[in-house]
Amino acid sequence: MVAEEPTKSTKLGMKPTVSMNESRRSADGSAVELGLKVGAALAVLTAIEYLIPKVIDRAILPLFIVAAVKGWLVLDYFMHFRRNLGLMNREDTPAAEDVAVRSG
Amino acid sequence: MSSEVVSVGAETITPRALVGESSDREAAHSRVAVARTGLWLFIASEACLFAAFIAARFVRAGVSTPEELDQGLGLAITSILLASSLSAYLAESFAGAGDYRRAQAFIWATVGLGCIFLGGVALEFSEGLEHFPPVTAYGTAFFSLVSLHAFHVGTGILALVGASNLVRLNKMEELGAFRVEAVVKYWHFVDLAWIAIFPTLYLVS
Repeated sequence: MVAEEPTKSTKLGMKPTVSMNESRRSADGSAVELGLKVGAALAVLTAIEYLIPKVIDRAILPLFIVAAVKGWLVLDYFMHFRRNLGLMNREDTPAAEDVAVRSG
Repeated sequence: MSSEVVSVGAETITPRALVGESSDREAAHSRVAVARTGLWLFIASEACLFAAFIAARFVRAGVSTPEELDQGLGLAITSILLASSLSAYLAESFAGAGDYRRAQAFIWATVGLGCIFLGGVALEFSEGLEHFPPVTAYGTAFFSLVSLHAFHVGTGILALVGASNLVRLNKMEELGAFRVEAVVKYWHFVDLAWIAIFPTLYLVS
């Protein structure tokens, strides 16, 4: 294995660009897995939502409870709502983090 | 001022250059932070607009739903829109990981699913005009709410095409990455709005 040449950023005590990008790529698999799990949960909840009025009469409340759960899944996992709310001034979403890594 | 320099290979970097780079980065970060706050405020205002239309459905038409309404088609287009949200999420994840080829592929998959959704809505409209025209209470609610949503899907598709262009041209620096994030968030919001519209128009009875 060839030893990695120290980069400008590592010599200056900054975060090493290459290794951070590599770690981002390895973390990518878990992001995909999470997305697929949330997608599956949304599919199951939609099926339940569709069946509710066929089983229960005047099922307004159960319908909107299921819709609220689906909405929360999208808001929190896909839109990163909680993360954005708590860290509004930090570059914490995947695309923006990558820019921070490359510009660092 | 200190004249200290740092040598890196053939390059010589002065502290002034480092400070300049750092302040540029901070400025870019604060621009993104402001833009992100604005994005969430925009999404909140759009959510209020949809909430008003949903409330109007219950005020004007109560909880009655025409029997002729095709719930199966409603379920199908809902599933398509949820799948598009997943593909938009994957596009953002791959863009974040620097895999722009896959990111672009998933953006175009999202565009395709959005177009299929609009096709389903057009089909629903043609059936709706026959069975519950806009002059009826339910028809008013249905056509106004679905049209408003379809308009957002259309603008979302245009924005996704723009985001795909940014990824293709590798303009993923400073605000470029945020623009992709903003477009994807907007698309998720469109999905979120439909999550509320689907039971409101199709399932409540």
